[in-house]
Amino acid sequence: MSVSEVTLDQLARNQNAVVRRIGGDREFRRRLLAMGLVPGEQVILTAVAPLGDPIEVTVKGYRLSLRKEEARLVVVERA
Amino acid sequence: MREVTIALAGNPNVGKSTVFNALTGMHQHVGNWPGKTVERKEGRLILGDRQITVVDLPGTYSLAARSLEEQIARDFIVRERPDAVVNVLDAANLERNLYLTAQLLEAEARLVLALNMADVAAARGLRLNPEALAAALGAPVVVMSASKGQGLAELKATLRDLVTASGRGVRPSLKEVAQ
Amino acid sequence: MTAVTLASPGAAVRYAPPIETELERLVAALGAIPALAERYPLRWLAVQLLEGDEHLLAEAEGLGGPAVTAALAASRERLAPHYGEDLDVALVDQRYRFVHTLARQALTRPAAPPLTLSDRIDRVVTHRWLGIPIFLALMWVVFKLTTDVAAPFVDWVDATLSGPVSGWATALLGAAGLGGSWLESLLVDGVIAGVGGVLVFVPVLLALYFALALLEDSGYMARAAFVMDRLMHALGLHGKSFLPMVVGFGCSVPAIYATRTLDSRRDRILTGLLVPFMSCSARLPVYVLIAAIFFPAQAGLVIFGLYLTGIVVAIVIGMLLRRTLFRNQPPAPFVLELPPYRLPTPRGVWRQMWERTAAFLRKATTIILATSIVVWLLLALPVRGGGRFADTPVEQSAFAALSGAVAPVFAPLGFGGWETSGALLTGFVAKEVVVSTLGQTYAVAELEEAAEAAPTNFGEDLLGIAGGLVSATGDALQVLPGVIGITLETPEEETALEGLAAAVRAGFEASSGGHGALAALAFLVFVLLYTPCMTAVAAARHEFGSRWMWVSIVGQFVVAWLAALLVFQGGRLLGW
Repeated sequence: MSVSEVTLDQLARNQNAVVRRIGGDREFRRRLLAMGLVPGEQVILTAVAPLGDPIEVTVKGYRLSLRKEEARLVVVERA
Repeated sequence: MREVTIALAGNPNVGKSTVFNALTGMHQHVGNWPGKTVERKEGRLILGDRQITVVDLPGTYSLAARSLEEQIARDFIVRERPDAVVNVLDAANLERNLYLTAQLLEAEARLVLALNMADVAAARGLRLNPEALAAALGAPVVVMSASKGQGLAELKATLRDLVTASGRGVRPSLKEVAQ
Repeated sequence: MTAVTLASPGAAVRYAPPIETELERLVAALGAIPALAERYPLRWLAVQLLEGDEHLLAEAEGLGGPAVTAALAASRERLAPHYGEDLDVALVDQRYRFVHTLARQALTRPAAPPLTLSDRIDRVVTHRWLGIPIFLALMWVVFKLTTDVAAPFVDWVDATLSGPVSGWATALLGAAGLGGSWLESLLVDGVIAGVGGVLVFVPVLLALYFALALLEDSGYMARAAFVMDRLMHALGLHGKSFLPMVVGFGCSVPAIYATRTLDSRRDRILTGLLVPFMSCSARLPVYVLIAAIFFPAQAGLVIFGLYLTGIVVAIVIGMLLRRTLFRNQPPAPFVLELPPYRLPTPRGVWRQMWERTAAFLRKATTIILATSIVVWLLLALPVRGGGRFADTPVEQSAFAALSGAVAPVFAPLGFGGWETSGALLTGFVAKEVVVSTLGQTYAVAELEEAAEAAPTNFGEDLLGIAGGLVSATGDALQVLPGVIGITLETPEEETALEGLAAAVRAGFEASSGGHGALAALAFLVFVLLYTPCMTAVAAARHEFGSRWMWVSIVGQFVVAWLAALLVFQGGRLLGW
């Protein structure tokens, strides 16, 4: 992991990043890919739920929420 | 006359059931998919002298068959080969919605694109170019705001053209070729 | 606006050259197998196989044998230098590139996207401090809608059926010379009562589906899941599981139907199995009666304790289920779209209310009517004494015999008398009747005011029904302010039940060997935890299938039995 690479859950609110890789099992990876979290895609962490989990990101112009344990499998590069 | 079947496909939250209700009115039957606990909605649409069966497929983001809903939608499109698939899209969220369109094209479905929620898209300052999309896909594109009743007449007209243009409607299904 | 391009072939996704080459090879290989060529578009099938679709691979191998496996392995091997392990990512990525090009042609974005109303609403609704209070307030409204607002209409349906409709049936049969016959009893006490048992749920379900349609169509449901997921996930459930649980405190039937909002079948069933442990409102009269008899000083505490027990049991059973029946089904990932807020249309809301309620009527009527007729038959059949069919005292009926036969099952719990087991039997049909059955079996004068109403004619009846609907609407409207926190209700008058109280106390003391209060507590715990009612069973069958219906019935019975045993025997060990 290079210096500017972090996992999606580590982004600060309103921080921009670009998706690099998605880990996890095949099913999970295919699911996120289908939702538009493809390598090279811009993401912004838009909100965090009141209890601190899950998080909300904006990708391809829409809002997607995922749990932190799932966001940990998405490697992004801070913009 | 052979019975014509049209399927409605699209992502969740795109107003698909509003389009379905507008097309079929009170002529609906709600049941379950055979052997499944997923709701199956079917309705009738009268276009001119033709009676068309409209099947509302479960809302899915892809045709990858991970969930029961995706599996049902995929099997229906690939196996039952409806005469046309009305792909309802959220015009305000076009890119992710078009991913399903790409998969429907790959599955060799005959598509009609319904760009729904055009009013929301306009409010967000998005400008749609349906002609370009139609030219690129080789499929009719209808712009609509189904919850306000806008674009329904155009969708029906498009479907009428589609089912009457080539006599029997559409190209024969694979099953018929095999028989 | 319609844009039509006729007669041009559908543009399909084109992949990078190495992939296209392999697709061609695979199509050729798959095309040689007629069974596959008949069933699937071949290029599509080839793409799915490369993408790693296990279902389709198994099917293709089943139909095509080792040839398919070999061709796929060879293609994958040739692609490995290009994409490594990430062939599936590459396929999705290239499909999205195609989509991206399309979207760029079809759409022009504004330089700076405006902050929409939807965004502004979201800032409040998912706000760090406001998010949870707003969520809880909305849940409160849903709960009130399915309970207090629906209640006057439930009473109206009930009154109409047991009053005028039963009266008409009696009058018709009387005119046909069948007055007072067993047929009259079957029609009034079996069929009309059974149909009534179904119809009284209609106002409740309409209220639930009204609330659900608003929450779902407006886009709030996804936010509710977002706000509550952390808590519910800790219990192995999903953020969306919270709503059915809340509705369950009103009634298990709409709660089971409310599990439909969950996306994964695992979560739907798991939630559906736990919902009945939320103490539904029909159980409350039983708690009130028994607590008033045995624990007059601490009735409130006992009732609150029961509600809490239900929640704790649901959490424990949920953990158990995840380690047993659902061991191989990990929780579904929470990958959820938060759609923009929209104003629900009245027509769309009404349609959902009507369609879903109608589906319930179609599915539930048979099973409930059948159960209702069986209970009637048991009550009508004399097995002792000199009663005639359909005219026999309760204690001499087949129902009493059956209650007596199952009573030993409850003996270790301290309530092994036939009177209580009879009440539990009818409680399986509907909790509302437990109290009246206790009244019957303990042979006290009818609890329900035996409305020997003055004779009326058809016209008066119709006016009465219409008037009842008007006053039900009025009552419901009066409740509405309460929904938002203002209470206008007047406390219900307590009926003196001295005769019953004495009989019940004596009965529990006898069946428990002098530990009446402890046995009563065990009885309450049992009532809390076993099957809520026949309609909930029908709903579970409708939603999850027969197998899960049985898991639910048997599971709840076992849990209720064990918990009641723990209370009674544990209490005795502690020397109560």
